[in-house]
Amino acid sequence: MHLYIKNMVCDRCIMVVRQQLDDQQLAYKNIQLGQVELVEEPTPAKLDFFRETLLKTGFELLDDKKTRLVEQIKNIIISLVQGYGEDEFNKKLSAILEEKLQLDYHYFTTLFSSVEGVTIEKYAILQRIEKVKELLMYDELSLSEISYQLGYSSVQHLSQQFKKVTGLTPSQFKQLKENNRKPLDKI
Amino acid sequence: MQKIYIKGMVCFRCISTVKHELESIGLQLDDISLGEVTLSAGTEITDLNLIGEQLKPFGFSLLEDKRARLVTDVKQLVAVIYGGDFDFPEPFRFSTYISEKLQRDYDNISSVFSIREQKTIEKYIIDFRIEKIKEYLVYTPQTLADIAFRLGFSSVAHLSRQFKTISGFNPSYFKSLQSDKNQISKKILQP
Repeated sequence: MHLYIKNMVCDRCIMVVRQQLDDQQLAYKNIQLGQVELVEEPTPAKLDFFRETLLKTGFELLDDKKTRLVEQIKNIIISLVQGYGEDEFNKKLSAILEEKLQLDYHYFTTLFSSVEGVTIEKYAILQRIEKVKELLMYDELSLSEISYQLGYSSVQHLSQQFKKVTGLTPSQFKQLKENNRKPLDKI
Repeated sequence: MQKIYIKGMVCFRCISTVKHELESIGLQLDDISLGEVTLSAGTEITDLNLIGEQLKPFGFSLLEDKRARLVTDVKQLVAVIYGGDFDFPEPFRFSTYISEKLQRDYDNISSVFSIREQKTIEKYIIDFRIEKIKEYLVYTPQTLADIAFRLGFSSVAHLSRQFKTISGFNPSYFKSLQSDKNQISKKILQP
């Protein structure tokens, strides 16, 4: 049985969920971003308890088919941007999503927009900009290396997009003293 | 108030994991946000390595760590290249050589170095070479031409001019100064 969980974005999220599953003695086959495969179906009481503990750590159990799909799309984008998986920015986002979800792009893009209030493309841009912010703060890579890593066609493209979203140029952002990063699940 | 910078934090779960881990080794935190931890006044970091080891299994790493390592790497390379026994390829540019060796963009290496050391890499190299020249002048009988060749100067004139701007002496005067000193100290030693 599959459970769909909202707001998972990184390996620590997976660890936290695994910990909770272990604590409540729910046997699982597989955990990945946004998805848990259980060995057997839990009793309703157990499931409710699991749902509550998830809520405490900022996750949410999804029942609705549509919100699940939206969450899946988000997870694919996050893994892509964060470089968790094997995928790279060599294909169009729409092609990657279609291939992974085995659904028509037109269908899930309208669904995503209506549920989230932003388009998939805009969401992907926001995720990428957040990653750029993270990498800028580490101060380890130059802007051109960052733009290559995140699949931008040029540094100019990245700078322009960055300025459009944050209102600052990347170098202005670097000079800011305070921390302006957002958690990935709040984007 | 001491700050630690941590790489790899992206969400609230990361924050709570880091918080838990740091508190478990007895550190008190004032504030914690994505990638940045502020320790409370009075808490001192005894061992940065310990913190790094504690966070490693969770996929985090310390940022200062990496930058500090980069600076030491650069210094080591400078010591190798301008240590006197380096075979300078032709044409030789320090910036291309070092960015190849460290597999990083030179702009980036140079800005990290300047920020941490309050001195550019070029200035560091100049100072390093001048100290080397002094060493050679005083302890070895080598000519200036030999020294210039060993340290990768394009000409003796270049070496002399740089030596003079940095130390205020020209090389031969410096040498005579030192030998005078040595003779004086010998005289004192032998009554």
